[in-house]
Amino acid sequence: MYTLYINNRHGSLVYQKDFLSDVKLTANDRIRLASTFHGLSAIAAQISPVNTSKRLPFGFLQTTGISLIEAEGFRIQCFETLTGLKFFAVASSTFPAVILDSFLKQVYEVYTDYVLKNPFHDIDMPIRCELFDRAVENLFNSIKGLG
Amino acid sequence: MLYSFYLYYRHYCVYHEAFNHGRVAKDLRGDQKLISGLLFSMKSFCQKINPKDLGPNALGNPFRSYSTPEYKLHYFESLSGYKLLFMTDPSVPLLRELLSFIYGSLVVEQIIKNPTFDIGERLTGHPLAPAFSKALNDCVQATPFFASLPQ
Repeated sequence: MYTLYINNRHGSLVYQKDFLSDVKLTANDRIRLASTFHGLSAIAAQISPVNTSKRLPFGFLQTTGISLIEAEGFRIQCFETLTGLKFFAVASSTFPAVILDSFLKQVYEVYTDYVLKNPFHDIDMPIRCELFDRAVENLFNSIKGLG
Repeated sequence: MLYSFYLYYRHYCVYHEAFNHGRVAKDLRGDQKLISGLLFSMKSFCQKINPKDLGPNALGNPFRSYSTPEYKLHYFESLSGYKLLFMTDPSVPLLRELLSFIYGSLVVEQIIKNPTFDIGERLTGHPLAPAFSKALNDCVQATPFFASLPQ
């Protein structure tokens, strides 16, 4: 697994972490890529050939953005929360999807524990929180061997 | 479940076909433009975010498919600028071989090699379209996921 990004509900990057040092992108590039992803996700929801989820009861609770991008040699898996946050990770194509999915959900869990409960954190602002950093690092170390 | 097929040349749609009574697009032209824009940004997005740096001379497009909870888009791009895509339900595995087969043996053989067809011309409404549509339908209806129910 290479990188984790967290977008807020307006599509701007609030957190980003590299797990391997061979990712060469500048801070500006990352901000742009994260916003591009938000835009792609919004358009993808608009051109959907079906509109089943809106008709179902509680269909509005179903997210409609991109959940997975497959590309040559890598893929991007995204977990979108009901509040509009997007957690997405870039991983090699051989990394098991189930593990990546549970990793993203666990990151959401530590986000609620260490970021939302932090009284000095403003919502929708970039995350600067050492405890969260460390928790994400630990999560990554626990799945590193599995990939 | 297969929903639709699109054939693009560079940035415009030259052919479109819907299967299995998918959603009737209110504004097909608008949708086609959105898809073309989406594919364009997806290409630069994937090239940029690719962790293995391929260098500025990397050929081709790394993007293969994306899925949302509602559908999945499968993508194939030829070096000559033709782009083929399928929209299916999310449970269908990657259809790259099928798309490359359709490109190689239907689009190239029946359309591009035909002397009455100019490269980049719109196929919708062209005299070659009915034969192509029939061949395409024969090809996709033989696949196991054509009318399978979405999970």
